[in-house]
Amino acid sequence: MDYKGQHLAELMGMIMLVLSAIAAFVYGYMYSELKYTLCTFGAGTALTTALVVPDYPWFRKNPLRWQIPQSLLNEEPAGDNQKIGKKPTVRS
Amino acid sequence: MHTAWHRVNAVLTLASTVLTALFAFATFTDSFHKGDVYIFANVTRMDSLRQEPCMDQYYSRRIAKEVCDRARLGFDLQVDLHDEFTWMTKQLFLYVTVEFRTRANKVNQMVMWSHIIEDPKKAVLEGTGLDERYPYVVNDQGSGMRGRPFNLTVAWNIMPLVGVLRTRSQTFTGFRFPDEYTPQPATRQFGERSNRPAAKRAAEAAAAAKASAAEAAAHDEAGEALPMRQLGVYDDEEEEDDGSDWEDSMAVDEEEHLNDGDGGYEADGYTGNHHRDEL
Repeated sequence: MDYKGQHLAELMGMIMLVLSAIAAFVYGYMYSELKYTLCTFGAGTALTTALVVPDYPWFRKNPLRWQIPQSLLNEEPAGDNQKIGKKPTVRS
Repeated sequence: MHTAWHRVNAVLTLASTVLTALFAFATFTDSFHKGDVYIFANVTRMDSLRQEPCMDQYYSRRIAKEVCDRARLGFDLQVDLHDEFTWMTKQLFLYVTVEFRTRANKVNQMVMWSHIIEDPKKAVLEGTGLDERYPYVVNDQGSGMRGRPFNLTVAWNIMPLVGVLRTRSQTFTGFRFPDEYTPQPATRQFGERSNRPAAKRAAEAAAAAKASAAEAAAHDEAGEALPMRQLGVYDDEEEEDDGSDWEDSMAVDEEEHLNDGDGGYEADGYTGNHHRDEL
């Protein structure tokens, strides 16, 4: 997950939890049952956890741009090393 | 937030904070609720007002040096509390208090009866039959109860699932303790020590036994069931009044029941101890 993804994750978590709390209060108040409030909020928390915690592709939309290592740029392409010449892959 | 565990921690912590805020808000909105209740309590009988030895401990000496006033009364209650239940209510604790003032103490308060209501469907009490049960006892610390007016307060604690305990009550005034002590019965009370010589006591006991036996015979002839007093149990049928004028029930005939009717156990009003005052 990149930095912007982490920010998005925190924002998503906060908004979803507050929304599920509001929905839980309204639902429980309408039907005068505290169980509905608790169940709704529990479901909201579970949904939030499912959407925020795993490493989803939408959290990886702004990957870091690493520089190419200098050592790889300066070396002459040799026959014994097959990996020279390929672009270094970036993982964050 | 760079690790999944970090994110789990953040989400769950925030969830618990939000849950607290949710319940705080829910309780706050619930505090404005005031139910439309119907309460009615009435003192239906005043059996006696006597000066009796008041013992604080179970193992007290037979002769107590302290005496205190003790009134025995019966009351009736009609209650409709279903409207006090909200989504935040766990249960109601209903209790009835007798309050009066004496010269010695500004406030005397005794809880007569209590009941837990957990369901709005069970929150309607009518014909509780409280005046048909054993008499409820009211004590004083001393002898200041004669002629005192007293209140009957019906109060209920509203216990929420989350939140602050609230108490609401309704008071019924206009009751009075009798102006004089109930005259003592001629026959000896169970466990009461007497200063009269043994022969006279024996004669009196024999007379009482004969009279009650005669009454039993009369009852048997009439085909009625054996009166409860023969078994030494409190006689409920003596109170023939319609419940409106309790002074009538103060008239005591000669063959008073031997037992006071509380089975030997009484709750002491202000100390909360249970003690046996016949021993």
